[in-house]
Amino acid sequence: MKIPTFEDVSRAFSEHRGGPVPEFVRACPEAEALWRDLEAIQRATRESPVRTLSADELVVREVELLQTVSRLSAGPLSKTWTPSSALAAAGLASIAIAAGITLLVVAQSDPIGEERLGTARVISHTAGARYEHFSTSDPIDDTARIETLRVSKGLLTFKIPDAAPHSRFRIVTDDAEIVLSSGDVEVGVVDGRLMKLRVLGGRAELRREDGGPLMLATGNFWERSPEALAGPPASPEQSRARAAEPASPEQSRTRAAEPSAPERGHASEVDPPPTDTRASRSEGRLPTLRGPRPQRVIAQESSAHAEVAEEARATPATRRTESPTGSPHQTQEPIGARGAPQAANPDELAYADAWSLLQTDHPSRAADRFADVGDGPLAPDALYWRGVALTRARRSSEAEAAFARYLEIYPEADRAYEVTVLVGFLALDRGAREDARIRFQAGLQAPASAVRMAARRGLDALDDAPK
Amino acid sequence: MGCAVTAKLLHVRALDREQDLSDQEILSRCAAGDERALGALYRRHSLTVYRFLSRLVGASSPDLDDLAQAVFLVAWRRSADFRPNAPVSSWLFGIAANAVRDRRRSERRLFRLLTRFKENEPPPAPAPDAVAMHRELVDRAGAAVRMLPIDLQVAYVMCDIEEVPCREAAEILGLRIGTLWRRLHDARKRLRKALLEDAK
Repeated sequence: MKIPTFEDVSRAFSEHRGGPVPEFVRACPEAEALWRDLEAIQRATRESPVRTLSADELVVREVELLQTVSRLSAGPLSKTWTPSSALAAAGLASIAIAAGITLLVVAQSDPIGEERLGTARVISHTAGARYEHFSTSDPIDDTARIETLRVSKGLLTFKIPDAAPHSRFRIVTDDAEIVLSSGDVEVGVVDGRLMKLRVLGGRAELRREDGGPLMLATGNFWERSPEALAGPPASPEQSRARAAEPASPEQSRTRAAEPSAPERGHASEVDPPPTDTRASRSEGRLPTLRGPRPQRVIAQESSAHAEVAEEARATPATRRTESPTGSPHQTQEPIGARGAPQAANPDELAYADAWSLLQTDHPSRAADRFADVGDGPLAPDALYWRGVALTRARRSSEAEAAFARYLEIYPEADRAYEVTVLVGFLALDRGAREDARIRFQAGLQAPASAVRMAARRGLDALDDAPK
Repeated sequence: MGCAVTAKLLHVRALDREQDLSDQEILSRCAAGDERALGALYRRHSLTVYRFLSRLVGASSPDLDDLAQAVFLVAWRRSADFRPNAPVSSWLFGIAANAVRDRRRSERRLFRLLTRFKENEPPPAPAPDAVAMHRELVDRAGAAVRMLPIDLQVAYVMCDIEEVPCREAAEILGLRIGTLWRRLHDARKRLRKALLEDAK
């Protein structure tokens, strides 16, 4: 008799839920033992603690929810729930609970004012466009919010006002995420898949499931090749496989008309920095940036375009590109765009150059180029990445100095805890154990769980490191 | 606390004969913009959603309230899309899974940025008696489930813990049934390895 495999048992476990153990399992002691293991794990998981809400909490949360809905209904992507309003509502709700009254909070639309500036707005969208908006606390800073728009379909233009220092904004599709703090972007989505992204102002980071991140500045855009619509999102392996196939005439035309990002260097594909985990652990050194992904993957799987100064001044006709869906509106000037995209300023160029250098494994030059970014809105990011680049270039003392300066200038920044922990690792590498310990312990206070975990890892490494 | 909120409380009744309304009827009213229906939906399903989210992110996660609110906001917006071929609770699980996936995606990058990974922590020494061992297994089970990749986690919690039928779960998650089975199998295999084999 054939001995059942784990997979056979697992399949039977799915199909016979709650029923008797199947005969073929009972006939084989190993299979029966597996079955019992699966039952034990299931029982144990069910018994593990879950969050429950008291009746009072339930009412307070319900009030919060309804207030948020009222606010969202008050206008297109208007403001979100805030701690002060939560407290106010909680207080009122408690009174109401005591009075035994069923309540519904109806929020009046707040007057248009400064608070509205922290919120994204939809400037335009095609008919039938679908998106959902919600807001969550920032994992870095629990006083800040992350607004998320999940877009299912359509061509939409979003504006994120500049004055949103405590908010970050994400646009999410099934296969990609766009992160930005301010600016204007145009997004095209088909069946939940990102087909195009155009940055009309500001900067945006595009993170794709099937590729590394891309930094796009004003005038840059990215689009997926039309062929990509035919199937599910490609895995990196699939992308590499496709890279070996000859390009379709349409793709060739697109690439000929618009040089790809690596040639222009303004839409940079980078791997997010560290971690080369095993090597760094075994060698007791700092995590390192990984090398760049093969650029041919970008060229074949999608087209990343950079329209810099010259293109920015060109007429719409010369900037026309292949539309991913072939619909006419996508080859016109974006709805809501204010004329031609602005030329990148020197800071943006320096920043983009530095990204390219970091991407192409020139961390030392990248660090120097990040230093060319002036005191504009890019300054905090440039200083942070300069520290990272210096770290990777093994210019540790300069890296520590850069990070120290970051903490001095931007002590309240989103990345302050991250930087603190990174400095802890640098201190550990130079043998300053107490300094490292202080940094890691400070990192334990970070609102973001990932930062706290990194700090814990640092403390572990401290214990493991030779004294 | 600088945000001045202008809000007023109105004494309103709950939905008429709320307890007699089906989930589908409540969702229809949500689709029509009746906020009282959202309240009804929340009262009826919030504990289930919290339970599901607890399995995915941990019962003490500070994100739990935000995620739960996000689930009902999405449900509110999507209420017109609900198709009655699956229970509302399963539909809410699907929304919750997406919300957690979105959250994970942004956290993953930060995690990669910062951590020096250690391989799996060595399991603590087994406790001396059966009761203590079981308690320890329960503690570790919740943690092990949360360590699974999100797709496996969702499949396991939805099907094995919340007992959503596999075909229904596959439909809600937009998967082929074979894919769901494969994920379930992978999840169980990893959990068994993490919880039982390593402890033996």
